[in-house]
Amino acid sequence: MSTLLAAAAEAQGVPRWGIFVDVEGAVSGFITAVILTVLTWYFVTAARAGRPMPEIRKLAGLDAIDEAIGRATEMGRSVFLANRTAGVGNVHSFALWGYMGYVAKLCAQYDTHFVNIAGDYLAAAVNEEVIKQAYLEAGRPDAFKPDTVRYVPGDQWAWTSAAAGMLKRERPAATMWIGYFYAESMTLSEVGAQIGAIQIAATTNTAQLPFFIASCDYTLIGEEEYAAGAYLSKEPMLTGTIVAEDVGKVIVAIVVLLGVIAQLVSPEANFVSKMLQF
Amino acid sequence: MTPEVQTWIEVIATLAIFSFLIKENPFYRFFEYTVIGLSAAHSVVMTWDNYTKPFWVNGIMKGEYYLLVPGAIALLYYFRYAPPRHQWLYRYPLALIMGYNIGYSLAYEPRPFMVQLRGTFEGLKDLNSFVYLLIFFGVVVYFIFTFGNKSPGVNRTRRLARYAMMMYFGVAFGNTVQGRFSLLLGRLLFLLGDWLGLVKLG
Repeated sequence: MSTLLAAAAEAQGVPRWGIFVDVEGAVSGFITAVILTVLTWYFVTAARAGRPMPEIRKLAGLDAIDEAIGRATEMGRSVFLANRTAGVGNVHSFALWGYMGYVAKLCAQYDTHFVNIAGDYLAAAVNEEVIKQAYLEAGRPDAFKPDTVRYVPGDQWAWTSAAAGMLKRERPAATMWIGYFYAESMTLSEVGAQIGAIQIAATTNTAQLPFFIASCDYTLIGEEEYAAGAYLSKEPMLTGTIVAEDVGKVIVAIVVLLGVIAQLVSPEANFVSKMLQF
Repeated sequence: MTPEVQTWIEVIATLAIFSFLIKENPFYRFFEYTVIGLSAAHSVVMTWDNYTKPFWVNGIMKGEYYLLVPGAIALLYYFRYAPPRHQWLYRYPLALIMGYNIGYSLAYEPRPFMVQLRGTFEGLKDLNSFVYLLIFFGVVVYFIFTFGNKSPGVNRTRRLARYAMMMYFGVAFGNTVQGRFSLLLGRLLFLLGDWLGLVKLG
């Protein structure tokens, strides 16, 4: 992302318009944000009003969540759900909380020990709230234990060594790696595979997806992470957001198609390119 | 600390972490807790130097008293540890940070994608770029979750996209594993060269 930002910031000599900075894509980026905001608002309102929404397609990894919790219950072992990078306010955290609420509720219903390992002190506080709420909905507020949410401070490898140690010591029957991961993905999922846990991963980081695919039983790739979060939480707000994003993707495909046609007809006078540059 | 002592500490720490490959053990656990402690201490020092100290030295002590307002709001976070009836107060700084982050994303994130979108069609000149374009449309269709789920054409396109993504993941996997091997070689060179003196470089 920072590379892309730098690439956009280096552009010179493009039109300046009103309060917008003199860089490529400042105005078109703003218009895109406005269009997506309006779409999201529309579909969220429609979903909340109970209007029919298109169904989110079934994702294989989602059935596996129930299966994994069932297995943990039978074996009398715990379920781990972890993410190091989720802070408050990033999109991954909202998806993570969707999974967390769902998994915690099922665990409370089946009386299975649920553990979350957090790497951000603010997110740890929200995680606690989400889990407590899920336990309350399951009618088991007493199931929340002081060690349910474990905040491990510090940098990437301190967190990873702590998580790997916990996995080996406690041998959970199911592990779930949800959200944005960096190089720790391989270590965590390999340790999970060593202890024989059923593993489910979901991330949008394409550089880490191969490791999850290689070591985990089910992997939700890219945007499936968000869609599954919405699917599990059944929150009208998240479902409306997914529909809005899909409409946004169709618009993007149309823009690119127009760009291709304009490029093939006359590369110098490509109006789509100029529009995106503005 | 002499270089010899430093090398020995590094050797012991490296072997302790490598011992995890055999099984979880007290030797590993000691260094696991050590690295967590060191990392937490480092975070505290960095936070003090980068945020707390400038807040007082460059802000409050230079008469910018308005900074006390966000400072006071931030202190509300400690109400998380207060008796239950006062705990709700900690949600205010949390909500402010969430709002700030979401606003920041909304303002800054779409612009870089405009550059990416242009790159999708501006370089059309050979077969490679048309293959890229085909995969682009396939992957966009793959990640549409709510439309055309029962259409055979859409499902075939999704399959094509899945194969393309798997090819990419295979390449990325091989590339990163090679990178990890180079890290392992670095550690082995340290153990066999710097410590045992069995390997000499250049």
